[in-house]
Amino acid sequence: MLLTIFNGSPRGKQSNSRFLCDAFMKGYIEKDDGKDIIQIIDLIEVAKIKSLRSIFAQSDHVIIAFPLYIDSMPAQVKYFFETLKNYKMKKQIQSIGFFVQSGFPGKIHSTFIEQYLSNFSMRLGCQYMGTVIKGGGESIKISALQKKIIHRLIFKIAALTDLGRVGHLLDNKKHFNHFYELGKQYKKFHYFDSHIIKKLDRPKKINWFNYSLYKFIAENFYWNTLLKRYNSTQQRDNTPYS
Amino acid sequence: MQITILNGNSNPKDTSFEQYISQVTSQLESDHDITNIKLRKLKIKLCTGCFGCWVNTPGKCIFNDDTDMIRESYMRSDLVIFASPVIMGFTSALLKSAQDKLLPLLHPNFTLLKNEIHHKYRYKTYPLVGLIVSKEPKMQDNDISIITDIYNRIAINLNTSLSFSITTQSPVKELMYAVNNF
Ligand SMILES: Cc1cc2nc3c(=O)[nH]c(=O)nc-3n(C[C@H](O)[C@H](O)[C@H](O)COP(=O)(O)O)c2cc1C
Repeated sequence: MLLTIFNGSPRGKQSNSRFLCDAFMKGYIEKDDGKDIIQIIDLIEVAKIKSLRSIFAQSDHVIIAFPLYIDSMPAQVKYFFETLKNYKMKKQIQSIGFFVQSGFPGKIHSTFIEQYLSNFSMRLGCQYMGTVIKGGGESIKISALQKKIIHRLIFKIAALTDLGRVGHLLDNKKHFNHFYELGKQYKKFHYFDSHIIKKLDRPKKINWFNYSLYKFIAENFYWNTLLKRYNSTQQRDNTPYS
Repeated sequence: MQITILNGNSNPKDTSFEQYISQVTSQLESDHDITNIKLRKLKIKLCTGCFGCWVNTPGKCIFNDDTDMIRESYMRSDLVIFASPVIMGFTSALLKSAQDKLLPLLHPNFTLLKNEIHHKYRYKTYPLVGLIVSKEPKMQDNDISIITDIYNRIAINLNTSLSFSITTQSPVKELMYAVNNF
């Protein structure tokens, strides 16, 4: 059995999507019985997008991972989908599932594209395995940027206490663990474990408190750090098209 | 009114779609100022997800391609019409390549909207948006409503609302009515 995971992030190997796919793969291969093969293909590494169609056709099971881009899939992923036009399943059963991760916390942002993905699977004639949604995905990048001790401390406390129920978004180990477990379960039972999916679907509600906490951390520890790095803090609010 | 049509049809042989857009353009032209952008004729570098448009050259994409002209026209407009054939159940990858490059129009900071986190807006006002799609064979019953739902979400993120969503099966009159009465 060949499972192919297509990583649709334009950031390729350095993407949040890829990190989650890698964790999934680790879980998947933990108990290797020699029967199953798993591969991860970064869409941006494939020079001829048309060749993706044959990789797709050779796979028994497919997972397509991508970041939410303007409420749907990145253009690259849509180009890939378009190469599957008139695709006729060659295998007896071919299954397809998706990982969608968004920058904004909250499942709501990805639920609309999820409906599309379910129809898309039907269009291909594949068995739809579901969509694993992870909000707050860009937080994976925040921790690596922390240089100031005070920032690291706030960061740690928020992550450890799951402050405001958004704190867990800062805990990369936990995210990767969830995807690791997801991979393990998928290998065993061949479905996405609903308990893990539920864990990823947090915080369920955004209220003023967790919004303020998220805003404080993401704006100060991420955007402002990057703006400083590029010496662009003064230009932050530029409106070049007014 | 200033109107930009972003035509995401990548196949020039799809004459029925092109004819529909031509009809729309010529009828709107009598009362409005129309910019018709055929995306397939432009050089669009796909978004690389670098966020340079927020942290390096705030408000502009760091790459020099034709999307600068798209954003310029977008922000000058009162209404932007996204137009595309439906391909594999959604609007075209070509149109998506232009939409991904609208990110510089937003601001990295956050705002809370109806208990959802969104990005703060870089500009005080943004154009309304509308959607024209042509159906493809073998569509599922709810395909158009799913596309419309996603475009409603896109509109929220772009600080605007979706003023209409029609298919090329609707008479152009219907679109004229929608445009002239919002
Ligand atoms: C062009 C662009 C559009 C985006 N649109 C959205 C969006 O609509 N909603 C959202 O929650 N995040 C959005 N994001 C944020 C990404 O989904 C988020 O940063 C994600 O974690 C990136 O994952 P990656 O590293 O796998 O590419 C957008 C990012 C980019 C670059």
